[in-house]
Amino acid sequence: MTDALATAHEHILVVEDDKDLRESLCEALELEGYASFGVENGQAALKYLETGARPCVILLDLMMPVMDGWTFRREMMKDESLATIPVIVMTAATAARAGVIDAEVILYKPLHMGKVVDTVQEHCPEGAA
Amino acid sequence: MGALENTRNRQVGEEAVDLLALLVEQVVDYAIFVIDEDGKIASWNPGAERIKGYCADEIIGQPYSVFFSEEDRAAGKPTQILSHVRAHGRFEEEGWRVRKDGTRFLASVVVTALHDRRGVFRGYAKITRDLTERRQAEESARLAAAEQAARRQAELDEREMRRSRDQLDLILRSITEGVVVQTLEHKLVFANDAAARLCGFHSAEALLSASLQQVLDTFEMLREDGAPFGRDELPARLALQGTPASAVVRFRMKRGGEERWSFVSAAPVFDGRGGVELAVSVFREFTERRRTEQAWQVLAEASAALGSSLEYQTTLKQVAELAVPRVADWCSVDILSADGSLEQLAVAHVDPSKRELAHEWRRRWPPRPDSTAYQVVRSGLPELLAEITTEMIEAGAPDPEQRRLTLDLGLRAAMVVPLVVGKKSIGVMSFVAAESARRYGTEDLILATEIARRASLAIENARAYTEAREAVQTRDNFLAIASHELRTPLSALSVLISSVVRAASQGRLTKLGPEALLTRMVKAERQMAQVARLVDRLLDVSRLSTQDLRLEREQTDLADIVRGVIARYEEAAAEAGSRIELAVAGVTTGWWDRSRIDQMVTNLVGNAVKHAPGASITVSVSSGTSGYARLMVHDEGPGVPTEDHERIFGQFERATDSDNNRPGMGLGLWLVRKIATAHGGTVTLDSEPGSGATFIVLLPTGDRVAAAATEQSPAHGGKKIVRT
Repeated sequence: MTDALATAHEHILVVEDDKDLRESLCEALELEGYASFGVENGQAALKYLETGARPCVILLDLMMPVMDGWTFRREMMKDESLATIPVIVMTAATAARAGVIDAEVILYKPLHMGKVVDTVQEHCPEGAA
Repeated sequence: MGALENTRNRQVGEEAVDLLALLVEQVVDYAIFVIDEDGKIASWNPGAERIKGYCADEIIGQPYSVFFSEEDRAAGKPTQILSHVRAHGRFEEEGWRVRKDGTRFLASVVVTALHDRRGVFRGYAKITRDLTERRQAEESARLAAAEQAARRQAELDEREMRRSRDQLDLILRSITEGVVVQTLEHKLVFANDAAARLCGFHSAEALLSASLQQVLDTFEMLREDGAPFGRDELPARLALQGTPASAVVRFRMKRGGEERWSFVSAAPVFDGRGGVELAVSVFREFTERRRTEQAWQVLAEASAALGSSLEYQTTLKQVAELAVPRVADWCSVDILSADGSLEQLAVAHVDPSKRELAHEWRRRWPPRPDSTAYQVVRSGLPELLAEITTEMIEAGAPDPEQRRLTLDLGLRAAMVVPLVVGKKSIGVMSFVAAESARRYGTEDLILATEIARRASLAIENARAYTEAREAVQTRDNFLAIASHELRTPLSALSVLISSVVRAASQGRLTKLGPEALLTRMVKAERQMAQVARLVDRLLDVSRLSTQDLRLEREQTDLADIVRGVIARYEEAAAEAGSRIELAVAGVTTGWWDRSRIDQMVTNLVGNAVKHAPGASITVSVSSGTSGYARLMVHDEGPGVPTEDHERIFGQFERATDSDNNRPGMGLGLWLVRKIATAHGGTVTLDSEPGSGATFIVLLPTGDRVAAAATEQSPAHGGKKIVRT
């Protein structure tokens, strides 16, 4: 699946430690017509990107064990080929804490699917074909 | 009368004449002689010769006027006297007469007319006595008496003078004003003790005998604003130039820096020619008044400073710093801790290097229960150590090192006053005099007590504020964590439902199919249950934060509960790559609240699964010693540093910083301890970083009666309802 997605033209990377939310998001995105791939933390996400996969957007949770969202974003920025991938932050943290991250949009939990889809749509216009 | 009788009479008469002749002839103290009717001398006796200097031969027949002075003779006095005698029979006077050698003498003279038996006038009898010696004696006696009187008067005068001088001296010495008198050469010629004390000398004699250098070394004189006086600006110098002057003068002792405030008036004393001879200066000391004013100022500043912060530590520091240097050279604040010991929380010292010494001293020799500090805490009454002597230090510090360090601190006097809130002592403030050599009196103690009273209020306010702030912080943490914890399952729920709704509304539901739809709805249901569980748990925690845990006890088997919990966690553990093993030994039943014990075991096992992914977990349940059951949850995870062993049992505490990114509220272990304690048990952690962690719970197995007794014992506080 990873290889297939890595070569797929457009897909979404979901980085979320809560298994239920991660799976629900991936399924909902698929139902909306997007290909998606879910990982449980920043480290897993970096590993995934190292395979050459280039999602059209990354849905990123902030507070995760092993590697949190802030660290993952900083790591991303170090790699020129990854730095340009748009990031949508999903967080239960306060605006003050979440605000220090470099992201296109910050979505505050609880998430609303309509808003998630609208935001994703901007960056992945071909996905929902 | 018979013839015989006549004869005898005649004989007696003759004898009398003879005796009379003898008297006249032999008396030498009186000149007795007769003057005839013509004024010539008719008889002469040895007394006359002795007094007048003439012998009988040369004077008999001479006029008696030779005895008179030229002037008396010229005035006719001799004739007048005799005429008077002829007329009146007698003349008496004290008058000046002339001796043969021409010298004068004062004579007492009686001249009597002589008549014979027939009454015929026969001449004059003159009796003269030389009064010169008597006069001289009288004169010397008079002179002696006058001299005596004069001497007595002189003595009286001198005594009076001495008395008034002593009195003046006494007055000048005993008046509260200081008085000094200076000459034009600025030499002190008078000073009283009050003036001497003002300048730092113990007596007027010490001041008057001091050399200029000694005087200069002892004190300096400052203006009211603290600037030094120019030499010619001092009132006494101005007075010596002829102008009365006055000024406020601060006498500052060079040793110790003690200051005495005085109002000085100086006036010139002029000599007879109108030139200035001396200057008299009068000092009216008002150090006490000044101190009172300063005390008020200190109190005003204290109120302002204490009102400026509600931070507990800052307030304590300010309290100590307030007193230094105006009331004390160092000041410390000790607060009673929970175990009843005094803990020094703030020290201020004029000399920062000494502050370290004070810290060191206190660290090495904390106050003993019989020390002044503890006595003050117990009695709630201040203590004044007006003077700390070397003997007192030696008696109070048996350790030679302590004695040496104490002497190095140079303690001179101290005041220890209680910090009281309501009627309860919460600590003490110690004011210590050292470098400044000041002494403390009742007024200082009143000031210190007043400072302490204000400080107590500020400390209590700060404490209450800190507690309130911590409570607010706890509530905020709770709300932040609660909302964070709820947002994730709510997000999953929201995504699940809204995606289905979106698909349905966009006609894409068929694409999903009934099986997938069911899966999503089951997931949604699970998320709702998760949300409900979280809400229940939050409400439980919220309740437990403010009240004690209520137990519903029943016969419960700990091993059964543990089996159930492990079964519930099997899947999660497997996902985390862990395996949970169980070991049961002996009887593990007790009189416990089943659901709370379940919650406790769940938290401990869940904690192990969360923190030790991929590591093995062992849960062992055994019958412990003497009526206790023991539960041990061991994991081979990263472990917990020793310094965090207690902290992680706190409310909203997480094991590590990275845990902040893990799900969880930091309440699990707090609840574990709460539940274990409510059952009369304990929970401890045995762990070192790198070698896993073991949580050990000991629960008294008890019975109904024992369990009820445990819950109602005061040690566990409050009223409990025991349901049977």
